[in-house]
Amino acid sequence: MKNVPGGAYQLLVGAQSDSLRDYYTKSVRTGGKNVVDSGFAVNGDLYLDVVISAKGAGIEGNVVDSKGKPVRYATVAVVANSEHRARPDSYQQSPADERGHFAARGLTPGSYVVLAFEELPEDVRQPEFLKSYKVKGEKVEVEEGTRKSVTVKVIPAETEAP
Amino acid sequence: MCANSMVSKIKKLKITLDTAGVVREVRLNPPIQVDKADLEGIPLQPEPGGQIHGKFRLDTEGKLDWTQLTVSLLPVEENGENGSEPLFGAGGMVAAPVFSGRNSHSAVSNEPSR
Repeated sequence: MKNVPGGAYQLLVGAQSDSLRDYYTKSVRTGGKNVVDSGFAVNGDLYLDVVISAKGAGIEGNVVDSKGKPVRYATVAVVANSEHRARPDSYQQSPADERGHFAARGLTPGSYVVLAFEELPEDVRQPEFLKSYKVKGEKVEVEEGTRKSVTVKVIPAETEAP
Repeated sequence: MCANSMVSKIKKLKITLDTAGVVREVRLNPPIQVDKADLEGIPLQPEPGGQIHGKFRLDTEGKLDWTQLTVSLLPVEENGENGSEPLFGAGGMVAAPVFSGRNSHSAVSNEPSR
């Protein structure tokens, strides 16, 4: 990448193939330091050593209503809970299917909150978002290469953040 | 630059460099506070830019078609959040969206790097 304006950046690695859905960016190192979470400064020539892993974690499950019945087509947001929060790839959003099933793959190992919305609020990535909705989500801890299953209660469209 | 009537803080500016006609987004540190009076003659000194290169590798033995990967640079705000649109996908390495402004986007080659 040439002529990058000076400043602080994070590296986002994307894939053009669906076969890489379980992959994640394990580390981005420069100057002997892992900067995958913190980002790095560009103010000259910079060398990055990027490690990719095929062993991303996964969270799958079902969205149900207050009576335990499946909710179809809810929007499920998987949000990093703490240490990886600043990473641009630590947020995933996917629609549940017609049976209320969802799956998030290629997650960085760590702690997440899984939320299901009838209607996704626009402020989903704002810093206050988790504080507002944390109590309504399911906390999940995932390790590298593992998958966990959760049942998530849908947050009705008319519900406001507590 | 002129501004009037509103009190606001300007943290980012898009400027066009006269010499090359290149539009750049620059961050202001500290932010410029605009009050009732016009502001004129503010000197802007962009941070020096640079070039990024590097190497991708797998954490285990195996092969990967590296041309299937793309890399994007997302500017980080002072508070640690990145300043781009929300990034959501169904997998950890979904197709990278196209960004505007200061974001850079690049393909990955299979060529070895130092």
